Amino acid sequence: MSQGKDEGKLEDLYLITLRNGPFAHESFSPSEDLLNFLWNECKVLVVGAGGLGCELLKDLALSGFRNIEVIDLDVVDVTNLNRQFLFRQQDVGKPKAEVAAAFIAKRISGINIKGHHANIYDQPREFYKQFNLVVAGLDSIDARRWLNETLIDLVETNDDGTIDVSTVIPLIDGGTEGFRGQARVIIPKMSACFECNLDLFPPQISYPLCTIANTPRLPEHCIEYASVILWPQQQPFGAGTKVDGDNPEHVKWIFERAQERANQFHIQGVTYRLSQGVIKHIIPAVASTNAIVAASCANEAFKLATYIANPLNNYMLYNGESGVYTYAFETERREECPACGRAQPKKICVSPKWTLADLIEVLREDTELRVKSPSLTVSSRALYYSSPASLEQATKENLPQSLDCLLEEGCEIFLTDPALPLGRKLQIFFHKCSKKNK
Amino acid sequence: MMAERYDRQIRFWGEHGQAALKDCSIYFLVVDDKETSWRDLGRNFFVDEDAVFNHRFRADTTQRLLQELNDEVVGYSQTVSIDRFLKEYSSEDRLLPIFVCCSLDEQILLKTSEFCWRHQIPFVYAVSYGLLGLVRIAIPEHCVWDAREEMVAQELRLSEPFEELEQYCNNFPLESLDDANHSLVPYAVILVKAFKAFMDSHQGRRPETREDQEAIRLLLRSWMRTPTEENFMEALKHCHFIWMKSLAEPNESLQSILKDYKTEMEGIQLQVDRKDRNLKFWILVAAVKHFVIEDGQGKLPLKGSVPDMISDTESFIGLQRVYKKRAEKEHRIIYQRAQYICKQVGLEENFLSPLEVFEFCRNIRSIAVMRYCSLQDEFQNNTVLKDALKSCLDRNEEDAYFYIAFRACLQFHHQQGHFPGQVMNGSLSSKEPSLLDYEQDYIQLAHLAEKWCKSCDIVKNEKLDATLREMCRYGGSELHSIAALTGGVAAQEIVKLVTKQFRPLSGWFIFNGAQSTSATVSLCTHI
Amino acid sequence: MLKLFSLKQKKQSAQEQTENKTSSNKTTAAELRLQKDISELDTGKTLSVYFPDKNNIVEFIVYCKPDEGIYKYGCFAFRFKIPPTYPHDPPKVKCETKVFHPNIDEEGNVCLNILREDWKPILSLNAILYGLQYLFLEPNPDDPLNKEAANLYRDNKAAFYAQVQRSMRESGAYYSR
Repeated sequence: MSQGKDEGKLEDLYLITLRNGPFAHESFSPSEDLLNFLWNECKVLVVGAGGLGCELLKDLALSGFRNIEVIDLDVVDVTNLNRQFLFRQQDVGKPKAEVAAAFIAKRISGINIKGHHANIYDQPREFYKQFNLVVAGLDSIDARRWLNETLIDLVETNDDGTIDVSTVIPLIDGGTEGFRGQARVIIPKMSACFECNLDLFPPQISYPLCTIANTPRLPEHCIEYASVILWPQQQPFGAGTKVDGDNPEHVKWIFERAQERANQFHIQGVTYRLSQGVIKHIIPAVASTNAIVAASCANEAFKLATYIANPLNNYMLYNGESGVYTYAFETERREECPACGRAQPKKICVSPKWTLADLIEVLREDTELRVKSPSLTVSSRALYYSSPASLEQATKENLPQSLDCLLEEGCEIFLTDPALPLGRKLQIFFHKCSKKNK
Repeated sequence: MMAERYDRQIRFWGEHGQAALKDCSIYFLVVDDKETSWRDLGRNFFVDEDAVFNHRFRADTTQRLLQELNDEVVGYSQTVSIDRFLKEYSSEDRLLPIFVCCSLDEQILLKTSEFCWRHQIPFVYAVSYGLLGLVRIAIPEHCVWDAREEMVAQELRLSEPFEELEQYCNNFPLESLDDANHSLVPYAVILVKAFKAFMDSHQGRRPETREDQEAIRLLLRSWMRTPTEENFMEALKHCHFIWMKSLAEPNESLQSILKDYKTEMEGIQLQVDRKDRNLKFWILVAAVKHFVIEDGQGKLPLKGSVPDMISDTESFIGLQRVYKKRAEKEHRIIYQRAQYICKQVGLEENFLSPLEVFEFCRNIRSIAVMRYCSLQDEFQNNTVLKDALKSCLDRNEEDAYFYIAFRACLQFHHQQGHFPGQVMNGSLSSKEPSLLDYEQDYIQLAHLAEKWCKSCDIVKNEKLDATLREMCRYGGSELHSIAALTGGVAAQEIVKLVTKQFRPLSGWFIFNGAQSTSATVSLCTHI
Repeated sequence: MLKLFSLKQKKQSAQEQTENKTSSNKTTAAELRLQKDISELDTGKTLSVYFPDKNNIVEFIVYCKPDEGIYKYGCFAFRFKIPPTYPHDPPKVKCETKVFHPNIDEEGNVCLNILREDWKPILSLNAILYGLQYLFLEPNPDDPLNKEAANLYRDNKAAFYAQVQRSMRESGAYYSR
């Protein structure tokens, strides 16, 4: 054992970062600095410590990333154990992020890994700002949209309007279902974002209400009847209690009612498992697909951080149902994407003493915006709605108010108008001039 | 507890898939004769520092740490060379259910795969090489019981209704139904009626031409009470069932399976004598074949399920019952035929359970048989490869060049004792720049590849040159993410082989991690 | 193109961290989209919208006052709840006025395809408003939620009409001009 510990562990990574090759990125330059950067500086956030998250942590740790944080709100459930290999029976009930981080730290010495048992929505911008890369293994569309927008929001522009690349944090996003999955690379404000092609995600299956109510034919119809129609009628667990798919009592109640209905209509196939699946919209998950998609995400992270090869541009589909098949393609950035649309917040300079009505008049006269009946909100608070009438009534009291009573300097206003396909963000700056200058 | 742990995967491959996995994977065995090194710690998550300090074997450590994952599984390790393992193994009577080889040594690859081929053990090869990942499956014959390929259309026999279906349709006198009931007649019933009406008005002729199709559409529209009657809209959407080529008869691929020698009595007897692993499958195919010829008038057994369609509950459940009953009747005949075959070849009467038979009949339209080319053939006989690579390159799957480059690297390694561009363990730390230079190795590798290309009629082009250089750059290194991806694909394929669900990979899967693309080099005949 | 490694270390924002501004848990893209949908609600003369809280536009009530057809002079309240996943998921809509209608049940569930199985993110709130208005002009007895109403509607329009009038009077949905 002549070899040193770290050198030995890093030997494969050194070899690939110290030599150039025809498939390397054009601006790749072989150097020891690359691994030093990975090893000492590059900070990665893994969002989600589930099926993908566990694999990701292991893959990133063994790809030379040594500063890793992981965030997840969940605790370990027994149904996780078939694929989330950092958890054991005795971990059931404990926070996933913490158990996962502890396991990685124990196995891989010298790693700097931190687990956050927390909600991603509750973290301040500064939390996300500290990372060089974010890798997400989430199953909820909502959380991915939020994360996507948060990273887009962090991108700053230089005075000349170009993007300040030092504020860009790439997002690598993976997802799986059965033997299918996808991996994608999002460079906020520079390539297609999650919101640009939200339609790539199929909507949830739902059944017509009248079928559920009157002509059930499938076991699913009976289960939906119990959860959508009977539950609100009978409120079996107290008024206002919503169906909780993780509460076995709730699932049992729905399963039993569904079974009664199925018996009444001679429909076969209502089971507890199916009931739970329909209520929770459970997606089947297998370990191998998670391994494949997470590994591919980690590979992209490594390429992004070192440029040993071109990072994926920008979407890879995986399908293992018949043979093994992948397809990489570029999704297009949408000019009018509500999250990363190319329009920057428009800077508007106003006097703090202007009234809201003055501001609206300025907006109406703006030749770039060309709005006719604008509606304005600031951090979800209504400033003024031109329509509908009831909101107009409720908000017109703001019109004669001076802006410094309504807004803070530098705040962002949402402007929507029938003439704007998506609405626009405005950033308000105060200047000293007391009169409205036309 | 058990079921809960596996809930998310049972939802995917079902209880019977999980049972197959359980039967097969109650134990695993790691064979490796090397001690754990620091380098292993950078590659493998299932080794630890303790193993390096205490000179433990990789096999032992990996076995121990994998074992922690699931205490329902028993792991073993053997720290012997693969030669010795194969020699000693053949004297044992317990057959391994699956064999996975991860060695970059050509000789080990050939030896292990030959061994598995001889014993009919499914062989999976999985390696990673720099940013390149490769998986290959080899087994003389793999039979898929349920390829889980969604049928484009359900087989409902609407244009050749069986007696019970015809009778059922008579319960729906379209003209005299009130509006409410009229709008709830299942489209299957409507289409049977439309088909009959067409035949009646066309001297018993089946609809064939475009005009016929239009006539049926017009007929359906004329029956609608309101322009948006939804069940009739569904009927219009599915009216091609009436003139489409019947799904009741076996399609081409199924026909060739039914015609296979293994469905004949001598074929089955031979398999019984050899204790072939697919014996059950072929007895069942033979039973279905007899059914098609003797009982089914050329038709396969019904699947027995009905897709959801607009209808009142009673009519739909009634329809379901008609199909299910008929299917059960047919499946029982096949069970009897299977029992008869078993008796003929000297097998016990309960060799096949009724459940197995019924399941097989339900999925008869998605069975498949895959016969692979052995690695021996592939490595020694270039004519097999030539076509495979050509069709791959014709599909523009340029990653096939990585296959050629990989083969050249294996050959290089066999001749030189190291991989092109490889830097010997530990010497990187000397920071000697000349160590990194791979030009000499590249020239030799290119020479090997050129010879190889010639024998395969492949033009050596710039893309291949670049690929060869890239392989020199990799120098036999192993990157964890690529290894993990390759391992994931291999694991998935093993699940397919064990559960006999889904179609496995038909040869080599090549993942190009530099460009995030992949290719499949098919070395398998689907029959 | 972006190059992570070449970027100089990010300005460490230790001071900024004290600020600890938590982000709200809605996506701004979803909010922006909802604001746009709401400010463009096409209410015409037969609809009006009421917002219990102008700063919380995810919940509001739409009053539907058909000016022709069987339900003329009625006023029907629908409570809209917009999920945080809008427009990926459709709004939840319940009828809060008791009404004798083939496609609305006792509990106020509404059978309208675009509220469930046929929803697409490209549809807007207006599509739902049109759908609701249409339900009052042309009830659809083929997809009944209230079977009794559907049968009566199909079999005996006059009796159905009378029953509707009665139910509107009882529930106070009648709205005299």
